[in-house]
Amino acid sequence: MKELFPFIKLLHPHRVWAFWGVAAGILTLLASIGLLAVSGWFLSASAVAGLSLAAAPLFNFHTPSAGLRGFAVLRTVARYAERVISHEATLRLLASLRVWFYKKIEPQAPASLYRHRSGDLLSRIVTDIDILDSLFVRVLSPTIAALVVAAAVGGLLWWLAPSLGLIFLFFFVLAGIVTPLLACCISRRIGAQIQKQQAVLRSNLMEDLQGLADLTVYGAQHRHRYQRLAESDRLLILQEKMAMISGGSTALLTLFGGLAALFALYVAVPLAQSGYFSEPVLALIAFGVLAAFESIQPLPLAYQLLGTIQTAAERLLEVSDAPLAVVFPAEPASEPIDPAIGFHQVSFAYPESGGNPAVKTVDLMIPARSTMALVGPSGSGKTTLAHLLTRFWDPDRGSISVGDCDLRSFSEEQLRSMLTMVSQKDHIFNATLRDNLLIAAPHADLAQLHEALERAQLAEFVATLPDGLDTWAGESGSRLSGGEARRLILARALLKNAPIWILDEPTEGLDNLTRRRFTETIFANLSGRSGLFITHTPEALVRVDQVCFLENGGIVACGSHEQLIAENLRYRHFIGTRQA
Amino acid sequence: MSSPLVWLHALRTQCRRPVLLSTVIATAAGICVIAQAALFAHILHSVVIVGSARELLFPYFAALAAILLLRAFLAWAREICGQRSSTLVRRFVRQKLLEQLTAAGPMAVEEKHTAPLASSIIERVEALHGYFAHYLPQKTVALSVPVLIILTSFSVSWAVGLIFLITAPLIPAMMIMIGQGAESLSQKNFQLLSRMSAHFLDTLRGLATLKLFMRSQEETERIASSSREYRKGTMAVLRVAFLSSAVLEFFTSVAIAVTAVFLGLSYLHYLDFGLYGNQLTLRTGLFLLLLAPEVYLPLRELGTHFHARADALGAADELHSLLSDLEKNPERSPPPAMDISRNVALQLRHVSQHYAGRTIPALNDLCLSVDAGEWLAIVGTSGAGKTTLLNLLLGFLPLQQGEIIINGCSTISLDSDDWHRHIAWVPQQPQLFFGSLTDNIGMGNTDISSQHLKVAAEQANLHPNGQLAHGLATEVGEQGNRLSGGQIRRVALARAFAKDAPLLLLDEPTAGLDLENERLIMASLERLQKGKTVIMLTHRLDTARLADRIAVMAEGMIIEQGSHQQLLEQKGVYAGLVSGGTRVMS
Repeated sequence: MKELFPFIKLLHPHRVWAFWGVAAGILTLLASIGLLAVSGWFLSASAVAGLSLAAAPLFNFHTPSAGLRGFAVLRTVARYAERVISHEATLRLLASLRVWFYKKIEPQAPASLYRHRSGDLLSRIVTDIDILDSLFVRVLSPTIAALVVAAAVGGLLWWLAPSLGLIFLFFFVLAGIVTPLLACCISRRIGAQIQKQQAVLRSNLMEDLQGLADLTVYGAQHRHRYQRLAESDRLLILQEKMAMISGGSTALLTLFGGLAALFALYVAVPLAQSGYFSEPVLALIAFGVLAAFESIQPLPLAYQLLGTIQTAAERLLEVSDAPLAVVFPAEPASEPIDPAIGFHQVSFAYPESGGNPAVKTVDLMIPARSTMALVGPSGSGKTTLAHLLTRFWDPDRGSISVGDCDLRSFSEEQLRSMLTMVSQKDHIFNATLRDNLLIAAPHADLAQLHEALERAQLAEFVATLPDGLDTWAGESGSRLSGGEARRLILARALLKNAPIWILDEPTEGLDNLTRRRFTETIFANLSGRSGLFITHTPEALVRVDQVCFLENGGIVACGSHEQLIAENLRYRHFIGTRQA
Repeated sequence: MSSPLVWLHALRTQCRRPVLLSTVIATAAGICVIAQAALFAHILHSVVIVGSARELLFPYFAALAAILLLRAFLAWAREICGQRSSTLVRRFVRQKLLEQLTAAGPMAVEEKHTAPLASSIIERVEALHGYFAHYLPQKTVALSVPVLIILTSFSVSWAVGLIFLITAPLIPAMMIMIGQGAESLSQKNFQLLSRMSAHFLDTLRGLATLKLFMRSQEETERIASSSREYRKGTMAVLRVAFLSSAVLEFFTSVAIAVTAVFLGLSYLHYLDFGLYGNQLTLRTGLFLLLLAPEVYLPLRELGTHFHARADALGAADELHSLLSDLEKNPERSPPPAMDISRNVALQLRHVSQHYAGRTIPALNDLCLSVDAGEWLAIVGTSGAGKTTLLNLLLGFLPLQQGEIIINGCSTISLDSDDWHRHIAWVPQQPQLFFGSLTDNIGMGNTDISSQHLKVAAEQANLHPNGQLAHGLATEVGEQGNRLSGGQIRRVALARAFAKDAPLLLLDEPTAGLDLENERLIMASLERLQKGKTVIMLTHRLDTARLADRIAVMAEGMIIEQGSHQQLLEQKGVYAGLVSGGTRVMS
């Protein structure tokens, strides 16, 4: 239950809606109990009165019939109000949940995105949050309403005769608490399995859809289809098991409601006959008890859902409460004197790598306004070094400095405004080209956008588009070619243009000519800025001030390109295949 | 073309038996309710009017307990039957969706985007549940049980029977009226929801980028506003939908009140009609009063399942249009069996391809031939039509104009399992699937021995010097995210080695890789291409020069071809590309 408290707390801003939702629910239940109980009593009393011709005209039927009309109208109005208000509360809670989750996950990014399967992450957010939103409307609100009704009806019966109150409460507890809890215990495991199975199905399905081409060529598409179908079948079987439990608790509810009325009547008959209360009250008791059990009807489903909700809550908390990979100071440090970059004895291992270091005691110095290229085979730690400089992670040992200040002393905003990064993983949003550019500079005017496009050699392409800058980029830039996407990313980076540039193989996926022009643009822009350039294209290597050759997370050699070619055999061999 | 509603109705054939069983069970439960009311009324009458002792009524108490047990059992059985019908339908629809998506091929899937498709297959199909599990059986029950109760009450009192008869049919009429408005609103609601889910995924995917541009915090506001929009949309639907339940509530309450007042006034001798001249006893009165809420209960239950119908219709609309979209892809008759024993020679004659909405053709009267065992490189700037050509050869695009000749036989379509059996493909962005390296290399093909897989991995230089801790048992992670770009490419290469097909298609085999990886991949390509026909798309000229022949593409045509040396001597476009001169390309 503890894991639900953070979510109950989220309900706090919407407490007025929640309160009125519950109040209307209680009113509905009491009105419908009153309606049935009073009509039962009214019939019996008037039947008794009607037995003697003398008593009949004296019987006041105005008050009870007005009461009946009042209950009838109250029940209708209260029910409608309860539905509308409690759903309003729920949807407000849902919005809070989404924002809350995003706010939690945002500081963890992107480290968290590497830990969780992103398809799974999506399923968590959409499904789990949707499940959690029913916490109020389907669990909290009916529980409170049922408790209030139990107290009211139980109290009234106790006042008539304590034994009646006890019988009612006994069956009420049996039906309203014991049965749902039992069902909840049994179904909790299945509920969790259902959600897991759904997440598995979704992320495997996403892979299959994205990789349908690969599957088709390798003749595996039907095999994968049967696997997904088998996963869906497993899900359906779990849901059937769940239905057996929920059906069982509905059945017990019917049973206990009826039995409560039956036993109450059984006990009340001798009491009425011994003159404890008048006989027409028997009808009031029997009908009132039957009607009161209506309030329990939503509870079995509610508690069955509770298992599912708890699992969802646990998983959301697991993601949201994960320790932050990096923490930024709130106050900005004094501005660094110049954009010189230093790596001092830096070591780092990814959390899930089992201590296998990605970078081992690296020392690097990039003087202000100079450029360095990182060269090495994949997995040699180039991208890791770039990510350490952006503080996606912090080094396990050693430190990184910019202009004599420790990287960790900068506030997040300060650091981000110092760096511009162009990488293979840069995301193009499913929005217009303009919106994609404006991410870098929200207040840029049209002239600035065009200048950036011009410099990234994308202006010509944009001019041919009928919608120009308002063209949609598609999912992950799917409506753009590989080269266009790269140039859009470059244009975006140029709009930001911070004093330090980090370039992670920016020219990959471009043809020779475009690559050369691209490199040209980058170097023209880099003058007067510091740059860390992960590349292996010769035209870039000859133009940087230093080249650093990495292998297996360590520096093999540093120097100018010519120097390394002349002095380092391994570098020469590595680069050699490219020289004509 | 049939409508979504017709499609939804047609699905009933999948679950006829459980739905019928569920209806029968519920009707039986309705009879139990009548018996229960009679027993309660009899007990109260005996005590209040006759003054019987409790002991004399014991058999009635026992019978009441038995009825309650029976009702409980029927309620349970009903739930299971309902679930069963929903299971049958959802399974059928999911199967059909997967089948058609597979048949429609990768181009159709790419057009539809993966996230909405996945949510169609999972959530939209789930949304059919309530309709088949609850709404459909309840629809019959909502008629059978009230009719049963109204007939019973008529047999006792025509006046009360009339009250029920007049009020009950009003309810479905009102519900239909209200329900129709809710339906179109509910569909808008679905659109909002799916757009919101797509927006979420996009935001999460781009979170690193947003962070780098310091925009990730502004995104909070966008999420809040899209949730707000969703809330407003949903509430508009719900406010209308809840009206129907309010109407039901109203009629139930009024019927109880009117019945009680009518009976009460009859007891007090103010009214004297509607009982076929019989004396109104308390037994009769209480019996009728207890039946009053039960007349409307099945209708009320139907009302609570009404949103399930709206959900299902919304889902049906989307699923139906998805399925008919996929069906639109012309049913291609399988091409005649190809004679591909060991080698593939390929000829394209006057092939043209147009994309809808583009003025310039992607392929423009293209002619190209590849000899058996030849290694052909196709170079060209992006947008020259290389990818279209590749998709055509992979059978993902139907041939629009022209002719493809394989080993001398003309064919109109390459979209067949037979053709796919004979090609291996190394895409630019290979897709890996959650599982081990072994799974990803063999692609689950059980005909390939583990020894063969091991050799393929070695040939592809997948893990030189034991780079991977667990060897081929290494888990690749979602979409291969635990591997580097170079490793993923080498896995795709290992796939090709394991398959050992006579035609090899390569799409930018070295793009995005560092030199070390490029060297490893080119070295294994040299081994892989032996004895095979190879078509390689590339813009890396130093990769292209390894091929026997190079074809230069521009504007959907082959504009030059020959060996590296020949093309250099021609001093044409290729030579221009090599020297990097801007003269030729601009």
